[in-house]
Amino acid sequence: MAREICISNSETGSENASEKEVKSGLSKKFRPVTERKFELEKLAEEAKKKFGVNVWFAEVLGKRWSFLAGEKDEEFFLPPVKILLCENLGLVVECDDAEVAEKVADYLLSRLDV
Amino acid sequence: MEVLASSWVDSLPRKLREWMEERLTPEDDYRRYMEDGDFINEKFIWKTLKTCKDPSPGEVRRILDKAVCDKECLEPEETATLLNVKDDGLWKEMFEAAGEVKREVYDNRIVTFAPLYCSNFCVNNCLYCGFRKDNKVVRRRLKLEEVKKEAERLAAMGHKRLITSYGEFPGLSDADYVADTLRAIYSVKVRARRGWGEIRRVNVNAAPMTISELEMLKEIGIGTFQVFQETYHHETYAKVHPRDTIKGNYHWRLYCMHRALEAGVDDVGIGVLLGLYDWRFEVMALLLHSRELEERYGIGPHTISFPRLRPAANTPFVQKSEYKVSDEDFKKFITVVRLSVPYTGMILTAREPEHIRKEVLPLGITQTDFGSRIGIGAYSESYSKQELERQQFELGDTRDLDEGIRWLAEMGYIVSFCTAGYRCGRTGKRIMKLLKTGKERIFCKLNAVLTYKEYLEDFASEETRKAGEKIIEKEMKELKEIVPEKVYERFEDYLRRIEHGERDLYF
Repeated sequence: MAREICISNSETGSENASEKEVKSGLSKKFRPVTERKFELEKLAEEAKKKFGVNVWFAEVLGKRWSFLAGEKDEEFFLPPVKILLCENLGLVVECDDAEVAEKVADYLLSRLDV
Repeated sequence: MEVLASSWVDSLPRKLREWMEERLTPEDDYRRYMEDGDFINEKFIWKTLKTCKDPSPGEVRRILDKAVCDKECLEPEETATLLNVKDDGLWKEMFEAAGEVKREVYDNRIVTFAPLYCSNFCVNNCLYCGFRKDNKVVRRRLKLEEVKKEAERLAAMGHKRLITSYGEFPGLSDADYVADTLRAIYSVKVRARRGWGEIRRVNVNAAPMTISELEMLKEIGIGTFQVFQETYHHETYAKVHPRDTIKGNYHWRLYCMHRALEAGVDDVGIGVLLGLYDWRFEVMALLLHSRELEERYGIGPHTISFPRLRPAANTPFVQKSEYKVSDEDFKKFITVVRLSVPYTGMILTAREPEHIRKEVLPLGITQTDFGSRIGIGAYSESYSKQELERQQFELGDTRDLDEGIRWLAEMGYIVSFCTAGYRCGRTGKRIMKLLKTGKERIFCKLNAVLTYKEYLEDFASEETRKAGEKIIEKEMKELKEIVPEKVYERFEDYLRRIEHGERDLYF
């Protein structure tokens, strides 16, 4: 599955996702970004219902992860688990369990056309 | 080093005018946003300031409550009411309320950064600027290797955030050059005492750009895009920015944040240069600008800046200005802006001397700089702390970063090097919501402590380290009270890991 767990707040190290070379499987771009915000909003809602975690999507631009979609009512202040879904689309999962975060990413990737 | 003879301005060819005409496409760049003129309606501003005179204490206190509780932009009439307060006692209440708003939104942290001047080539001729084209100063543009050297020096001081600054000159100091410098800075990594130093966020202060240029900067990962209108007063703007220069076009500049937000650059910084026109008018205009951006794009200014005119080489206008802002009025300006746009970051720079910084910090300042040098190449080359003939203006405070951090710690502030929000999607509409609901302050507090700890481990002098550890202890006690147990446990774990050499852990 095309994804890459980042890194910055994982147990494994402290490099930034944006500095990692994108794996060949991830080289596709999510396009057109702005026109597909509604789709992402729906997916974030689905993930919340299915897994009970807050997620939001971000456009990945170098070091910058720019907010795209994923409203939420509650804030848990947990460290963000950042998952690079493809070259320019990031998923942020507010969850303390990396395995759950990966499951969420798998699910969303199966629903997303990237 | 790229140095050009100072006579370059004398031979400015007709090409420059052609470039300007080619660059500006009014229909696309600003006219399409305008309805019956621009959003700075001067008649409305003056009328509102006039009709809200002699406010009752009750009305003023209602507005203060609103600013503290709602964290939404005030109505223009409410801001005008605050600007018309005459009573010293009420002003004192307003100063306190402004500080409360800041703590509610951002806690007691002060974000720090350093300016990096990359080029002073400029085709503009602003009467107040040391780099204006008629000034016979040495013109330089840093090569990318030189930019990297400057960034390495700054990273080795402990800085994590920069604001880069450029003059405007086609082919030399333009969007492509800005893009190249961003890439160069982001590539820097230096060894520190225990971990490493790097620049994690680069904000840009540059000339207005087209949407496609802004899209290019967005792709590279720009932090905040900052352009100050300098003055929103049309007539004064025309007086200080000659008509035959590109900066002389008021609307090209006024609508550049519209273009930035359309390009997807969702952190924008606006500002005024205090001393060009009536400061009360400028407060009203900043509010109108903030409201315009929020209404159109759902995103207000990430920061507001308000440098005061400072002496600069060969700029007689600075001495003659009749609108210079006194220290007392400066305090009032900051207070009313803080209350009027509660969610915005407010930047106080080292233009101001130590005693003024100390006085205005509690009024709602969220960011300030230390260790700043504003000459081209000034961090990595031989340079005294001030060399006016090589600077855009004179600095008021040249203390280094370590001293600045210790000074703030002694006053109870924690310095934050946090860049977390922009690296995990807390930008644009999302950060606006967190700021307005007061939730961002928790992230600010957690990340301030973590990045402060990194600084103490990697760069601080022994004296600063001692002062800093006391602040961390105090912050940890407060955090224990306000965050869930699970979050606090993770936070403690992160602190331990930082002590063991891990870096860049954040919430």
